[in-house]
Amino acid sequence: MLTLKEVSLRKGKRTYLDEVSLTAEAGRITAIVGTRSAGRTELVRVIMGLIAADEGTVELEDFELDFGDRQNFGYLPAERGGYPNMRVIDQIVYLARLHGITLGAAERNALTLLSHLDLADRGYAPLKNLSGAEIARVDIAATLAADPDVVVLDDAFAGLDAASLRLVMSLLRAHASSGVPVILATDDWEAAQTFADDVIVLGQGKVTASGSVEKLLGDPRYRVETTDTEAAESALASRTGISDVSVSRGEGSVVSFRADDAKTAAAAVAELKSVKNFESVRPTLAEQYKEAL
Amino acid sequence: MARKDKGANDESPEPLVSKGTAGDGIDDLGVPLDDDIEVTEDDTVENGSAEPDEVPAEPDDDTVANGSAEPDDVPVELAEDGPDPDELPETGLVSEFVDVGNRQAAWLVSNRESTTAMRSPYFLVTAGVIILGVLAAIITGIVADAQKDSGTPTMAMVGVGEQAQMYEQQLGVKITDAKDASAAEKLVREGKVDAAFIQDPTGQAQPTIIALDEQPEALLEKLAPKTEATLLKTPAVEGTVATPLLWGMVAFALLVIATLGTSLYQNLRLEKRNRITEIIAATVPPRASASGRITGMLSLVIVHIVVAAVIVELGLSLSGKTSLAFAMLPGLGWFALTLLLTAWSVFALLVWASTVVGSKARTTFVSIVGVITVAGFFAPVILGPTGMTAKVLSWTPFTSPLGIAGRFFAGQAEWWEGLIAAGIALLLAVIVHALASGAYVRSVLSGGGRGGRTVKMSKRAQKVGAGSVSAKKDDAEASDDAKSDDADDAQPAAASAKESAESGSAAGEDAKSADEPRDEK
Repeated sequence: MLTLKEVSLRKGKRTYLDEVSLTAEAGRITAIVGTRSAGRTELVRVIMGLIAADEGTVELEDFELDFGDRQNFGYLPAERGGYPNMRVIDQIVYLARLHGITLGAAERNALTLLSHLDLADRGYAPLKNLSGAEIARVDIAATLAADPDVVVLDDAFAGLDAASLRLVMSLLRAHASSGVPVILATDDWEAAQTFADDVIVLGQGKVTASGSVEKLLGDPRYRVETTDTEAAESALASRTGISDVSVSRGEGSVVSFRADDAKTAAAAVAELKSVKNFESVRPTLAEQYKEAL
Repeated sequence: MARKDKGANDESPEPLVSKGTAGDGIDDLGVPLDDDIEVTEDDTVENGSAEPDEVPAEPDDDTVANGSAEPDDVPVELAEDGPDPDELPETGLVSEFVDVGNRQAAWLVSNRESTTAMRSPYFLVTAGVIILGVLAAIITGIVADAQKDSGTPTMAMVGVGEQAQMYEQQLGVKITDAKDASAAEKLVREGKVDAAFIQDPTGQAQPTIIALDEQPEALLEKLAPKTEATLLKTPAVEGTVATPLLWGMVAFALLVIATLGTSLYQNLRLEKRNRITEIIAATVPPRASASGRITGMLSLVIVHIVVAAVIVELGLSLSGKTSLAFAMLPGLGWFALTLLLTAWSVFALLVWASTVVGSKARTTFVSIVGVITVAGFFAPVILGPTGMTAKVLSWTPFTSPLGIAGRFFAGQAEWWEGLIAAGIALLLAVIVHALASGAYVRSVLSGGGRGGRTVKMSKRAQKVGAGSVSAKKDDAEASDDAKSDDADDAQPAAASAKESAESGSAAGEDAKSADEPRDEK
């Protein structure tokens, strides 16, 4: 478990991080999402020890990390690139060996990862001969080749096409399942909602929301399209287990409400007359938080 | 994290294996056991992302297929021979680690740096040019010597007058009449004659033959009895050889330093641009990384120097110029040493230049380094090996490689002057290296101007030195293990794939502060 406690980072009058506290659980994928200039990269750099925070601590299993304690953290910075003229496998092996892994293990892991990422036939090609999506997968392989204790990916989904994204995320999921905290910093809200277990919403250097994706998405809201909105509104408002009933008079006549559970909602709607459509709606993370940020 | 500490292996550049769990992921034939990974991965993804809260009460079909539940018809003996799926790493990755101290980190970076440079076409072209150039110089020297020996020798004689023609016929030597002994000596010094025949004015002593700086063999062979000539100058290497040799050394030094320096600088900029610097800084101490780059390039300078020196000495020995080969040795030796130290300074300056913010400032920095280097190599050869200026240049960094070599070739330098030149060059290199490393560390750990304090290297040094943290971690690990054991006991034996994943993560959590969890993984 990686924990940040009240981390602040400032330069002059500008505050990059303001008392940021968060926890990335082992075995789970934690996404740090936020708009541009929310402080994601700074936060990642503080986690990696590349910047010393003005205040606060970074702890792994309740031990405060100091410079030099992150040797087996797998780190992928944003706006990255590799050595264009170096062979893919050499690149992965070299970066893995810096973590202290033996040559044999690094080579074996490189081949395993390339195979998982559908790059087995590209291992001996120079990096410059690969496509953008392939290079993005190589970056992931290089990050994981030392079998890191913590994985930190800044701008995690950059350069990945849909197929690559599935491959990469299955690999990261497997890695997380082996008992490692996987941290993804991204501005891709949709991908974060799809692939992460926990999400930390960062805005203007502050944590504005955090928790599991389920928790952040909240309970669904139910929408009933009917010809008699007033009757529907009063009927729903009078029922137990139904709350927050409102009428929206945009396109058509829609009554929306919250319910304790789906059964209660369905039972309430079944008693209404002239119902045209009934659906449950859950706003995405981006819809809930992005505009507010 | 204990691996990060400076361990006992810090002395050895080759890392020693300190721990490993390779066996977890490899079968007896050394083949990685990848088969199980895909199944585990699929299960994990399905269960982990879609429905985290849902835990099936009974093992599903996949779990049975994976082998976590044994079919009834498999004999127990056979079942025991198979790998226990719980012990296999879920990622299929092997964890086999070594302690990486500063030296090992520097060695890894240095190795990559030198390998990259050696694979570069520029390096190969430079090596080719140097080898061909040295060979061409040796062959040219042999041909020139052959042409020189084929001509009629010339000799000045005092007061021979009209008898000169008679001597020419008798000796087969071209005779030049000189008024007196000093005029004859002047003719020798000006190179107009190969030697001068000086008779003793009293007539009691033997006549002497004087030559400039080498024995006029062709002439002496024609005289009977054959005598030795007295040399007016006694340089280690004659000027006709020393001057082109020095220009060749200038070209060699420039080629080597320009090629390797360019490669070093381009690599540094590439790493900075592509953020590889950050990845490296997150794993190895930046100071070790900076040192590794410089030592990597210095190892290639040594390769170049050794190759060139061997070809020169071997070529001269094979072509019968053993005495010249020996005469050149001190000059070449001090040249090699001071060039290596100068290269150290230049490479350190380039590391420093690569950290400067702003392309204009960087270009200016690199240009200054280039100008100093080129001027330093040319100046001593242009100004010559004699005089106070030459002496000062031979001791001064950047000018010392060619300056000290030129003075040794001319026989102008004392043996200890080489030591002084090398000492001063070494001192400068160490200072520049320290400054460049500091600049590199600041550049890497200042967060690219995004605020915060620059990470202090001393923190780690204190921590590693004290070793208190690792001790604390060991204690904590013991208590965590105890907690882990309790947690494991509380868990039901049969679990779904999701439960396996969670128990795996609990085990990982327990020991992330130490190295043991890798074994569990």
